[in-house]
Amino acid sequence: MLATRRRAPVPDPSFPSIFADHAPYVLRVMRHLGVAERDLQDQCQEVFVAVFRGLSGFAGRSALRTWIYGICVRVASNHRRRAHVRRERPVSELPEQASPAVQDEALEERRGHPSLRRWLDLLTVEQRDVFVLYELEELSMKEVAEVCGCPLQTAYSRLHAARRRLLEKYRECEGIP
Amino acid sequence: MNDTPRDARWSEAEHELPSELSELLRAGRDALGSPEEVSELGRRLSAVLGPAAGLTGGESTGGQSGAAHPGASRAAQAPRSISASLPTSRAPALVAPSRIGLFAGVGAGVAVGVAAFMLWHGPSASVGTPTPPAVLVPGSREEAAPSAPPEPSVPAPAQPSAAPPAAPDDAAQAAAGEAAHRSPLRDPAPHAPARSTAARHARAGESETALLEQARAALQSRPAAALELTRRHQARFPHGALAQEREVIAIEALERLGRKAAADARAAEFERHYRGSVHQPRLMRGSDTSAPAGAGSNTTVP
Repeated sequence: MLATRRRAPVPDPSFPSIFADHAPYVLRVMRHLGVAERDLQDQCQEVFVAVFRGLSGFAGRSALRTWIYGICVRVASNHRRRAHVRRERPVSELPEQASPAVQDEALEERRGHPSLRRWLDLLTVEQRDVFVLYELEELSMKEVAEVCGCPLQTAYSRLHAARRRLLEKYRECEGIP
Repeated sequence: MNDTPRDARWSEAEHELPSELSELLRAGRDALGSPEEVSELGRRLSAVLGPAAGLTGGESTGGQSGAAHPGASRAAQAPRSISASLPTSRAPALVAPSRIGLFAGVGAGVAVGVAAFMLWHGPSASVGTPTPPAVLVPGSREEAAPSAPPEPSVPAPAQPSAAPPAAPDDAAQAAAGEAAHRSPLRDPAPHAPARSTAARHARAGESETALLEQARAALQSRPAAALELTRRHQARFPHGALAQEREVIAIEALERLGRKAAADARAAEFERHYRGSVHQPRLMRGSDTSAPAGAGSNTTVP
């Protein structure tokens, strides 16, 4: 039965504080998970729409931050998958002329994120998620496994694979055998 | 280079990382979203979610008020207005539809005015029998993590944002001839093109957010145009991530147009298909004005 009395909207008092507390790192992690700069606001908005809708059902089975990271990972994964289909190619195949990915890098450099994206682009989606959550967001590996929805050992495997890949690339760039 | 201990981060590893990688990681950890970015994100959310999100007063970087995050480089600060330019909501008056506040359909920029009465769907104003929307509903598993607990459905991604001009009332009137005898929730297919068709007809760069922002901005003075924009949103994004928010705006637009029966039917459909929606408790709540418990940063929510 619909209520008919006229009432001013009753805002959820928890959401503004949650937004204020979590938005800064959500923006960071979404960047690192591969969301292009031009899509960052849209994708972060998706994260917080999901947070807003899901707050009432969030029963505290995990920490709030862990839960939000999980949303970030899923939203970013969807976004990267579509971006890859649409236009993106690995760093090694970038054309000479500026492409959207290169423009993103230029933008990132102006923002003080010099080419971290280039390194992270070397990783697979699964490796990147684990690496970003562990090395950059500094979650514990147990939390990382929970966020990524994989066994702990799998998370470690992905982390080590990511590290190997980055070091291999570094050696290759430096001409180190 | 030696293997790092099993659980040691590269930043903690005893062996030296290449300096370039170390510097990149250090910069990456410190690169929180700027206050401007947070402010813009808050503005967008406020426009889409309406005052129910509680962001109309403005939230900025509240900082890490909970457990300090090692990577946080901004001190906790009290929330402050993200945009002084955002007009504040005023209390409903005059012909304010009964569902404005209940559905939190009033955006930050909506001031109450007298609703223009425009026939949209014809004298019958029949909306037929609603059908389930082809959108994600709470608890859907389309993008849920493998873990069992119910989690919010991850919305389909929004298109790149753009800000096309708001549809004029003339356009709304011209489109009034379109049949809309069914609730959009019931059967979007006849009136909403198939995905591929919608994609072909889609206006370049028109995102879900942009459409709904325009719709919400038009609510107070041009509810017919607002309703048209929600129809456009439904046609372009039949499985859109912001379907709930669209319905909230559409219901309010119908109220403002004086089409109470249509608004009631659509609201009933909303309740059926978005049971558990965050927008719903505000409708069902009677005299209970107690607020949900807040949750701090990185704390377990009971």
